[in-house]
Amino acid sequence: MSTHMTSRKRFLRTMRFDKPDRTPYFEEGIRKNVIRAWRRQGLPKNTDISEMFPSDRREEIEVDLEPGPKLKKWPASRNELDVLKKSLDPQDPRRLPQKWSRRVRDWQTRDHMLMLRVHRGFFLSMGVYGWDRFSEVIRLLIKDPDFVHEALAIQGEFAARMAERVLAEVEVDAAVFSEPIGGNDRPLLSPQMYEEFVLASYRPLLDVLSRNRVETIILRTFANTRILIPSILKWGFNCLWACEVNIEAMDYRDLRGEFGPKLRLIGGIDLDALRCDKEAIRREVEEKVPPLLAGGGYVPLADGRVREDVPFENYVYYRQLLEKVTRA
Amino acid sequence: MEAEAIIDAVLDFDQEKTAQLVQAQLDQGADALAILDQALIAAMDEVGRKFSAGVFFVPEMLMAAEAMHAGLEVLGPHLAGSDIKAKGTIVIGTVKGDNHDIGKNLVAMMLECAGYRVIDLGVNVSKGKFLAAAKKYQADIVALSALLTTTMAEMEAVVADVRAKGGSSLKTLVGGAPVTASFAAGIGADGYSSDAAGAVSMARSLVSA
Repeated sequence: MSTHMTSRKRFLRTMRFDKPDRTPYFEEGIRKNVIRAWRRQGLPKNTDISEMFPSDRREEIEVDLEPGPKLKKWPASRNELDVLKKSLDPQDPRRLPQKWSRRVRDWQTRDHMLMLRVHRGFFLSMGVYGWDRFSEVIRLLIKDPDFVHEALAIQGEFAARMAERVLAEVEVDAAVFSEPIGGNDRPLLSPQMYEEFVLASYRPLLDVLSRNRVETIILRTFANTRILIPSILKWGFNCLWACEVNIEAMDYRDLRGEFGPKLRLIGGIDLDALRCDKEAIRREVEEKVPPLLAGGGYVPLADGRVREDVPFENYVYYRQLLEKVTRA
Repeated sequence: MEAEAIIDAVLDFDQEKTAQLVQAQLDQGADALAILDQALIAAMDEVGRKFSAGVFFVPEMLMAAEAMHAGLEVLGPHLAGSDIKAKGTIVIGTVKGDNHDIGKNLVAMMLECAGYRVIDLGVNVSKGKFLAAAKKYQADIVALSALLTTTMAEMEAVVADVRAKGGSSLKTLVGGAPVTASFAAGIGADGYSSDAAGAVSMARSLVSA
């Protein structure tokens, strides 16, 4: 076995339950304001945090999935759906990231992981950004389900054509569906409703991903979506990346126990522990990470973005401990 | 007074039928307060139970609330001048620095359906505004929502303000995605709820305490 795998190969091996040379460490994209705070707490002046600890570069292709031009009013009935359809042209060249051709060329010889963001999830693709539209969409789910089916089908078909366009030119290592649908204790929609409306609308996109042999299909969720997991596995997802969770309800050890290797996992380390103290970090990392690594198909990562409320010394301790535990 | 049919209509999310049945009861001489308590609020109690049991989710809860409101609109003129008293007054808002309103609005909706007077201050509400509103409206509870870990700290400041200047009978209730029971206890909040239905139960225990 090579001792120097590329980050890309390392990730692929991990997701295939094969043996990588070491655990992948996703970069956490620590923001400038956090770095500024950490400099005051002891991070040396000319030190790049990403060079202090081993990390694996990960890039996400972000195509523009928003309606263009921007909708003045999101449709609320079937006879308004034409406006939505016309605003989602998958052939619009502006939907691809800038310098697309050059990036495609560079990706052919990449060493890092490349993921494709394929869908923004139910609420955002229905135009929900606040209460008024939220309550309108919720009402439509019950009062005009045909409209919701059709609106989601338009979004699903559009997302499928966009994915097809990208995958015709570049091979990706994973696809990411974002799904901000969790509440504190459960998702906002029942599993039945989520399958009937949302997962069904993902079918064209999942078919495109399957045809293009994208191996890892990630559902990136927020808060508690545990009861949706059987549904997402049924529909073809095979990896969960749960963010900002109620950690007891979404303990990855329990999820691995319940779903086994059908469900790859990214995340699982409670960010709250990093805010607390070294003992909390030690317990979190030492108790959770080894059994998950032993089962394979797992990338350890804090379950949220590291912000200013995580002290620098806690972050250093966490990263050093993570490295120690994952190399053991 | 036949409450069962009204309760069923609310649970079926049937606004028209709820309104018709309420009117029918009024036409038969039923007491408006009894219809409110034994049918409409009772229906929402059942909604809360179904939500807690994982039978109802947010869409069902919201549609049931709208059906309840349809009945309440019919009842409204008949309640004016009656002895109806709100079960309590609750000032609610999302704390300063946070513009999220969906969770707060769901909680406000359920509290109103449970018979509370709700003063909704909106989003990005400063510490002082919560206390000022609580005093102005003689509130029983100040309910705080936050969706960001960075704005949870503001909750602590509001709770401290209420404890220092609000008087012993003014309670605090907190909730929101990053908020936990232990966080709530740590900042000295009187109550915590992880969802809208739970907020009603907590409000009941806080107001009667």
